[in-house]
Amino acid sequence: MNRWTVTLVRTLAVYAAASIQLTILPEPGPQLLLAVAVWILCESSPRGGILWAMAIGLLLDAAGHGRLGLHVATCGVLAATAHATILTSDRPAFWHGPVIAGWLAWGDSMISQILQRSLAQDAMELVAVTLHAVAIAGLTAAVVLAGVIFRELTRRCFMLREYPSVVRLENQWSRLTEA
Amino acid sequence: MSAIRKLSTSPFALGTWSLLLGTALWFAPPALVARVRSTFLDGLRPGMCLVEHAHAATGERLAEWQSAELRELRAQLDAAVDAAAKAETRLRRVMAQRVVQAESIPSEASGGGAQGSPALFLPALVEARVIGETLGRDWRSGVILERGLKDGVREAALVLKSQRPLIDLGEPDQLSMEDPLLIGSTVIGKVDVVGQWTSTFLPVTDPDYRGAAQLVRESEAGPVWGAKGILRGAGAACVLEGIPVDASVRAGDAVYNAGRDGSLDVPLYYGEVAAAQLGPDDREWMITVRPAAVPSTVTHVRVLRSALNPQRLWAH
Repeated sequence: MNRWTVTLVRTLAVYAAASIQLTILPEPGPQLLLAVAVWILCESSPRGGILWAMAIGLLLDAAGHGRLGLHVATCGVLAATAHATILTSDRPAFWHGPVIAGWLAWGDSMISQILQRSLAQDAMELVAVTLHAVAIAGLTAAVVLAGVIFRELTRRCFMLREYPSVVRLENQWSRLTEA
Repeated sequence: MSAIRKLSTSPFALGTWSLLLGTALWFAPPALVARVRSTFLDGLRPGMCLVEHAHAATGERLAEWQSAELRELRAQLDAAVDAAAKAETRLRRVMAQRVVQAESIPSEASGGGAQGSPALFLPALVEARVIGETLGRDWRSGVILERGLKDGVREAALVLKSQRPLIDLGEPDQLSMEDPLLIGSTVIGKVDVVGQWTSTFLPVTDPDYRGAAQLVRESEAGPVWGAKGILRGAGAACVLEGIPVDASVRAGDAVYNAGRDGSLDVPLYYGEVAAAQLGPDDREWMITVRPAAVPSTVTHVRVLRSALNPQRLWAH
């Protein structure tokens, strides 16, 4: 798949996830949009992944009721930290996706809840906010894990080889030439 | 050059960029925020419609898989529940008519039947549609208003800020605060804020709801009026306050509105006493009122408003 096809597929995935998230998914529920952000993050270069995460954050901001810019900043910063700490190798392991999904959903939920309530008033409220964020993170990580297992099973059933994407090969190439 | 490029595209730099962009958007002017929001939501509308359609179609398909017997039983149960609700409404209406008749006979016998001028106010019932949650949310969030802004669609800020349910009537329909909302002759709430196009209403179970109420109990001589009090919403049920302990109260007594003004033939029904026990100070009863059963999905209600009698206007 060339770069344009990859972008088109990702745009369609984000659009479908946003439509489902805003229409039928209960609140609090799995953050389907963040699950898609994690999938893109694991499949692309640091720059592309973080920019996509920021775009998805903007979508969350526009569709939600919080202040504009909140999710852009949190998604961007959390995606950047995930890339700097977890996604350091060229080929992500199977556990990278769920862990990053949990991190992204937990951080996003914690920060947005705390800022929207203008900082948690007492320890009990902080515990409630944390538990709520953990629940959302768990559900989001479960969605990503289900996606990873489904992809792995499909590949094994149809005996497909995993070819590295053009984007990843280009990144690898640019890294080698820069070195 | 390469080092600068590397720095500017590193995760750390991108994280910083996102933080700066988020901060800039956080302090963006409200007009820009509203435009961004409506653009995104308008763009997502086709997808959301498609998902909603697919969701509904899937639900229907799943419902079709249910056994025919189960569906038939459910239909019978629904019909029986509807019939019982209708019978109860009829019963309450007859009871209200009887108690009013019993009250009016002595006054007529004492020469109260003199011909006077026609009433100044006439009760008028207007049909209103209850606005669903999704449409109400869109209306308040400005998705619909902004679309019609060029055509001059405006709504009162109090209506938009309120989280209470909406009906599709407003000032031009001569609605005013406190007008009762009815299903049949049962009160289900009252108008709270009247807007230009829509109005919010307080359901009887809302904690902010207050209304004058009077007990009606069955006696050997037929239904008779009991003590008067104030009906207050209390979440799932209502509470009747201000009934002194020397008044007779029993579970099952009917509760009607007490603020009658002569324009209505019969009082309006609130519900029935579910439980009554003595209050902590032994001065008043603590009465829990079970509101009349209303359909789970109320789509149409009637608003009782008072209009000037044209006969009186022409007479002057």
